[in-house]
Amino acid sequence: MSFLRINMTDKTVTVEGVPKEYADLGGRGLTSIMINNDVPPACDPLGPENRLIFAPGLLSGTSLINTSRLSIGAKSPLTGGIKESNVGGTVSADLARMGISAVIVDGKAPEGEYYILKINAQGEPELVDAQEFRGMRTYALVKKLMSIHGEKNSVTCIGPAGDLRMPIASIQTTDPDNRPCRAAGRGGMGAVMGSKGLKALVVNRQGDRVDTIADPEAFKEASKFYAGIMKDSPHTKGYTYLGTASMVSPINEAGAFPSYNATQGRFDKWEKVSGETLAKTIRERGGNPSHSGCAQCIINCSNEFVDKQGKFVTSGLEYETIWSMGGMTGVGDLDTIAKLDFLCDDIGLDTMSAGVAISVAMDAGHKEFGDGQAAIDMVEEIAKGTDFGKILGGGPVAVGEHFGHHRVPVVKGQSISAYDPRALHGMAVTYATSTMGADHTAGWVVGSNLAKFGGKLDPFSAKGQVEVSRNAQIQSAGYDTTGICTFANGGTRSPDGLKAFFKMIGAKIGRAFGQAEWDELCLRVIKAEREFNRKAGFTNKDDRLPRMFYEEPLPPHNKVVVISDEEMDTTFDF
Amino acid sequence: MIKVNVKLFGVLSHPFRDYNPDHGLDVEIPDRATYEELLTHLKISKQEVGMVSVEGALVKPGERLQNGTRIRIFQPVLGG
Repeated sequence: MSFLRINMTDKTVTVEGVPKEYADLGGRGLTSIMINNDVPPACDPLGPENRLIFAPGLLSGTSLINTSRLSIGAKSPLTGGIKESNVGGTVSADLARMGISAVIVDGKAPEGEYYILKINAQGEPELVDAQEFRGMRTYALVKKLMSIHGEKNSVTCIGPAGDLRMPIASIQTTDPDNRPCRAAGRGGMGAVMGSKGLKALVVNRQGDRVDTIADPEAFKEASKFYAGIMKDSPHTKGYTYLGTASMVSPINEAGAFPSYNATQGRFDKWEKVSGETLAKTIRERGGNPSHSGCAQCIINCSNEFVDKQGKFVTSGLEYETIWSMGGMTGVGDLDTIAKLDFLCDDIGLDTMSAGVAISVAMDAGHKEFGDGQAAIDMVEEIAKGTDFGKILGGGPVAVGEHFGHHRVPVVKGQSISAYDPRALHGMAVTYATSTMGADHTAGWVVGSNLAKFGGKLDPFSAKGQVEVSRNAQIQSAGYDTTGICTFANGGTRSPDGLKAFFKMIGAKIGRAFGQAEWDELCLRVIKAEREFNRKAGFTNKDDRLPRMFYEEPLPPHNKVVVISDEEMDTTFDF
Repeated sequence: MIKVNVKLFGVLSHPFRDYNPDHGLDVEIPDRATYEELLTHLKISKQEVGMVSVEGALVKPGERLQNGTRIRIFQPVLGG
């Protein structure tokens, strides 16, 4: 396995063996531990001292299903803390199959210079001038790069928002159909990439090294067993049919779907944007409601949304975007939401932060809630880099400051996700204490909060919430290290599935691996992230929700968050 | 017997041919039946169900149905 080191200051590229301390790591574990080791915590996130790391998961590129998650890490220009932004597509498997554990980008290209990084089938990197592509949107860029370098490449790139170094800029990457619709949305990784002077990675998809697994036979057997568990899972069936949009109906029913800038817990137009309506609309128009967004996926949670004439609009229209561009802005129209989703992918913007930035502006009276055209215009302003576009591109906090508006649903500068913490107290703990800022993927505890038929935790009570969130945050750090998709890690809930999962990790790294090693790995990652944030200046006072969640009751249940600061502070008592 | 109306979300409606999502299912069930018994009646296993609600309030398996109740049954939530 190898590291590719790219120094943008002097434009040197080197290939080296993986140092021992990183040998058994991948994904988030690798990015976070390396950032904590090497990046000065007080550095300017958009300066040469920051480091941008692209790391396939430890199990990416293997025969195991649904392991195509790539971790992109750096110090975040949005939160000021450590960031791991996680994305699917094909690039993770492409890099891993060439034995590349990480692409490490340091320094900063001289002002005025711009590059793409090309990696050939032998895993050899080369910086190529990309001056002409500055400002180009991602769909046009991918088309152009494919025409130059061939279609058997993945492209991982930024759009105008990243070129302009907007703190909510995403990094987009191509799906199996060569569309840049998969987003590492959170934390402004696109701005970091732009600041380095790097427009895109073009990675050959035909590399194939056979020496990346220590015990291939043992791995194959365990991966086949694990895939069988996932194929038979009712969860898999549910996500194949409706994708993540299946969440709209139940979360709205639970009164936990933040709407109209989180002033309502139920969206009055929910039936127009539900997963059931989305799938029906796509089917009737001849689109594809069950599409593969990532290499080796057996779930197919993605989709291809088409207009009334059957023409492609966007791919991968997901729950979080339906929420941020629909519920939060009051837009109850799937066609408008789909267009906004496409625009964000094309411009290279986090749909969640952009949608919340727009909803804060609407709440402040800039435009009416429900005005879809106004939302589209605001996204276009970000792409153009107008004065107001730069404020929107700065994220919800910048918008709140601009309008002097108090209701800004963020933690550590990053917007919440599509679960209101007042109606799901477990998510209050995750949002407040996560090393990433408000982030549902850092510790998703919605299932245990939703009085699962048979009941577990009271979603309106503090009781037991710190414990479930702590555990979920620790486990998520481990899963994000392996590169397995969050919808496929459910196989580990059965003892046999967990055993197979550990067996695969052991077979990959060539040593015995069990529960104790797993626990140690997970904690190592979280502790590194926490340590970096502490060194960057974060204290317990940053592990809090904004006042709105403690003071403004959320209809229909009219509850506020009741978890005390002291309880929040026990989250990291380990 | 009592009559209730049941709306099914996600994949839960698939076994019911001609299921109309706007109307749901009209179900007749014995007096004092529980939600758990309603699921058995509909041949839906507990593992397939994430939550059940009545008028926006989540209900538990052992609670008893009331005549004329409008019920929503959702598939498990997994993340998104």
